[in-house]
Amino acid sequence: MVFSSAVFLFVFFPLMLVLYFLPGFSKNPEKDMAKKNLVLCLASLIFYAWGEPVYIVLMLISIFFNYNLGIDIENHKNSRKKRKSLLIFGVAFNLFMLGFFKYSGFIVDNINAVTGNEIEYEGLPLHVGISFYTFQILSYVIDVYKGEVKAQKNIVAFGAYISMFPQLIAGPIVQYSDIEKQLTSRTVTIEKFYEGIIYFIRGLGKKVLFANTIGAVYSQVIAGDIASLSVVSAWLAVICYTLQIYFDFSGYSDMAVGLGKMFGFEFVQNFNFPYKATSIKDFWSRWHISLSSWFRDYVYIPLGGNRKGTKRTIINTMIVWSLTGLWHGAAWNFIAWGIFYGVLLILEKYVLKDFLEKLPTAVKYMGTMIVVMIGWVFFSSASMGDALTLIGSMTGLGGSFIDSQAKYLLSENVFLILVMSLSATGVFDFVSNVRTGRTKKICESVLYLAIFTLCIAYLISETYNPFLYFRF
Amino acid sequence: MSSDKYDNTNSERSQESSYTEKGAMVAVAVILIFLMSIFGIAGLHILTDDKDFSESENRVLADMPGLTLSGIFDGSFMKDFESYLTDQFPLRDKLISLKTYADRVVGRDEENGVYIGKDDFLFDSQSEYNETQVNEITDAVVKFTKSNKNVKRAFLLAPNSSYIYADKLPRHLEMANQRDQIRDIYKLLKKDSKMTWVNICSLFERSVKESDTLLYYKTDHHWTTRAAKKVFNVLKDKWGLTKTGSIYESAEAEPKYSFYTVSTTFQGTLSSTAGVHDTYDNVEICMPEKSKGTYVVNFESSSQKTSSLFFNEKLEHKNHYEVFLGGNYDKVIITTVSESPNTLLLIKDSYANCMIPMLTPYFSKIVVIDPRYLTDSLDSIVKENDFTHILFLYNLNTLLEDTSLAQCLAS
Repeated sequence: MVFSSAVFLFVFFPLMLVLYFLPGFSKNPEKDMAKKNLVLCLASLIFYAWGEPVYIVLMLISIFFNYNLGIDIENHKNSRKKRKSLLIFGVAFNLFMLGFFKYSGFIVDNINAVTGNEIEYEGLPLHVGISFYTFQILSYVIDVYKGEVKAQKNIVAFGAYISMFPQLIAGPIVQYSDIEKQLTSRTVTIEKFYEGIIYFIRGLGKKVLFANTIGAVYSQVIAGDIASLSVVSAWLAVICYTLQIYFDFSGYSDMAVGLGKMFGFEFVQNFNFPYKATSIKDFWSRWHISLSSWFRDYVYIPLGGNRKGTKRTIINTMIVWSLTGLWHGAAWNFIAWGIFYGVLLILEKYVLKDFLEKLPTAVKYMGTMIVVMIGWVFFSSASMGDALTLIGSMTGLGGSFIDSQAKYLLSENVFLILVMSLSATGVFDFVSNVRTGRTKKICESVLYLAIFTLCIAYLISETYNPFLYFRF
Repeated sequence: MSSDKYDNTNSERSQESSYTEKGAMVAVAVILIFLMSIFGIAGLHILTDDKDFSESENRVLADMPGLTLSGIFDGSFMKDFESYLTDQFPLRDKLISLKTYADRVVGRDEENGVYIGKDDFLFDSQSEYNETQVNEITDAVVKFTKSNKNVKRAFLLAPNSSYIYADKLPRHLEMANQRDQIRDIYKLLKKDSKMTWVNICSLFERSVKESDTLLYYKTDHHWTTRAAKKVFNVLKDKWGLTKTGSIYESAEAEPKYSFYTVSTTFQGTLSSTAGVHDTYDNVEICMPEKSKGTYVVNFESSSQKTSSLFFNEKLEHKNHYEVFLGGNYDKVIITTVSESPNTLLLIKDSYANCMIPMLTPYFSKIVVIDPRYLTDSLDSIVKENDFTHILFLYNLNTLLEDTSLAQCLAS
C-alpha cells in the first residue's frame, strides 16, 4: 500500500486511528501502550501484505529470527566469542536475505557475463521495503552486540519497530537506539497531532502535486530518442527528474514523519533542503540523512573511518560509496553513481579544497547543482550507455539547441518548475518564517487543507480512465 | 485522542501567552477538519449507492470485489478493491474538474492527451504519419478502384480541427502540417488517374477567413454538419450530380437543404477525455427538404430497418453525434425512392455520418461500409451491386491509424 492512495487515506488510516486511539481495556499505561503497539504491529503487517501478500512471510521470519537473536546475544554477556559468532551469523543471515531477494538476478547476470555461462534464473518480483527494514534490523543487532541498547523482550514492540508502516516502504531508516524509548513510552498531544497532519499533507502534496506531475514531463521527453534531443529538451528532462526525485522521496519521508507524529513517534529528519547545498559533502549531509548516518555508523566508522591515515580514509570512503550506490539498486549504473560521489568527495576533501574555498558561494552552489544533476542522469538511466547519451545531448551532441517540443513543454511547465525550485531551495519557508504567530498559523492551516483537497482531486484523476470510441 | 490529553495540553499551556491558546485552537480546528474529511469521505462512500456506469467516462464502473483466499494471495482482491474505491469515489467528477482547473491555473493545457486551446476549443493530438502504412492504404485503394473501371470514384480526406484552428492551440504547441500530409496522400492516389478529390484544407481555410461558421465541434473530434455540407457541395459539382425522379414538387428544381438544431448541450469525446465540462456545442442536422419517407435504411447485421437517418433517442445519451446514423455500423443499405440510375458505395469513418442524409436525393441506393466493423467480404458486396460511384470519406487522424481499410479492400 502507498500513502498516496485512496485505500490508505480513506480506509486503512481512519480504521487504524480508531483502533489505535480507542481507549484501552486497561487504565494501566503500560498495558495501554502494549495494546497500541499491537495495533501498530498488526496494522503494519496488513499494510505490507496489501501490496506483498506473499513476502509478508519473509518479514515475519526476519522478525522472529532477529527477536531471538537479540535476546540470545544479550544472554551471552560473558562470552565475547559466542556473542561475536552470533553477531556474524545474524548479520550474514540478514544480508543473505537482502542479497537473495534483491541482488540474485544481478549477481547471476554478472557471473554469466564474466564466465560466458548461461545460468538461468527466475526473476524475483521486487521486494519492497527490504532494503530499509534490513538496515533497521542490522542497526538493532549490532547495537545489542555492542551493548548500546538492551534486547527488546517484547516481540510485539519489536515487530512494530521492524514493520512500522509509516517508514516501511521508503524510510527514513530509523536506528533502533533512536526509537528504543518511544517503543514503550510515547504521548500524542494536540500540537503534535497537528504537526503530524501538516507534515503529512506537505509530503502528500510534494508527492502528488509536484513529483507526479513533473515526473510525467520527464517521461514524455525521455520517451523519444534521447540521442537526438535538443539541448533545452535534455536539460529540461534532467531538471524535471532532479525535481521529481527530491519531491517524491522527501515527500514520502515527510508523510512518514507526519504519520509517526500522529502516533506519538519522533523520527529523524531525512532531508534538509539538499538543493541548497554548496558542496558535495554539504549535499550528502542534507540528502537521505538517515542512510548516510547509517553507513557512517555501521560501515565507515567500524572500518576505521578517517583515523587510520589518508590512504585508509580514501579506501573506506570508496567502500562506503560503492555500497551506497549498490543499496539503491541492483545495477551497475547505481554503483557507478555511488563511485561518482565517492571520487568527488575525495577530490573535494584532498585535492580541490583550497581552490573551492576561494570561490564565491553562488559559483559553489551552481557547481554543486550541476554535479548533482549529472549524478541523477546516471541514477535515472536504464543503462550506462543511455546515461552517456543523455549527457551528450545536454552538451549539444543531439543536434539543435531548442525544438518545438522543448518550447511547448517549457511554456506549459515553467510556472510549476519555478514554484518547485523555490520550494526545494527553501525560499518559501524563509518567506513564511518572516512572520510568526496566530495569523501565520491560520494562513498555513488554510493553505494545507486546500492542498489536501487538491491532492485528493489529483489522486482521483489518476484513475480517470475514459473509455471512448476515440477515433471513430 | 482521549480528552484528558487535550486537557493536559491546555493546562500546561495556560500560563503562556494568549497566542499559544489561540494557536492551540487553530490546531484543534485543523485536526477536526482533517479527521472529518477522511472519516466523512469514508462514510459517504459507504452510505451512497454504487453507480454501475459512468456517462462521462463511458464505461462500466468497478463494483465491490468478492473476498476469496486466492484473490488475496495473488493480490487481485487488493487491486480490484482499489479500483472499486476510486471508481465509486464520492464527487468523483467534481474532483476531476477541480484537477483540470488547477492545472489550467498553473498554465498546463494538456489533459489525457487532449489540448485545451483558446476560446474553449479542445484539440485531439494528431496521429503519426507513417509512410509504410500510408503506402499500404493508398496502394490498396488504387488497386481496388482501378479494378472497377467504369465507376466514378472520389477520395475525401478531412483535416482535423488542430490544423484548421491551429491559431487556437495552446501557445508554442506545434503540430504536423496536415495540408502537406493530405497533399502527399492525394499524390499517391493519383496512380489511379480517374480518382477525384476535394481540397478540403483550402476550402476550410477560406471559410475560416470569410465567415465564422464553426467547422469543428469545440468539444468533440468530429467536423460539424456545416463543414460536411461545404464539402458535399463541392463533391456534387465535381461529380456533376443531378437529381432525377419526381419525388419533389417541381421535378426540375434541385433539392433545397435545411439545417435544424437538435442539441445545444453537446459535450463530446474531447470534453470527456480532458475532463473539461464548461463548454457546450450545438448539433445541427442537415437534410434535403421534404425528404421524409423518401428512403429506407437497412442495418443488415442487426436486421433492423428504419425510415430515418437520424436517431433522436441518442440525444438523451452522452454522445449526441450518434444522432447521425445512430453510431457506426459495419454495413448499412439505404434504398431511396430516387429514380436515379446512380448507386453509391461509401467507405467511411464516422465523419461521413452527418453527410449521408445529404446524398440521398442523388442515388437510388447507397451502401455504407465501415471497414473497422466489416466482417463480410467487400468483394462480394461489390459483385452483388452494380455501383456507379465509389466514395471514400475519412478524417486524417483516423486514416493514419487505420489498418482495417487496406485489409478490407484487399480481401
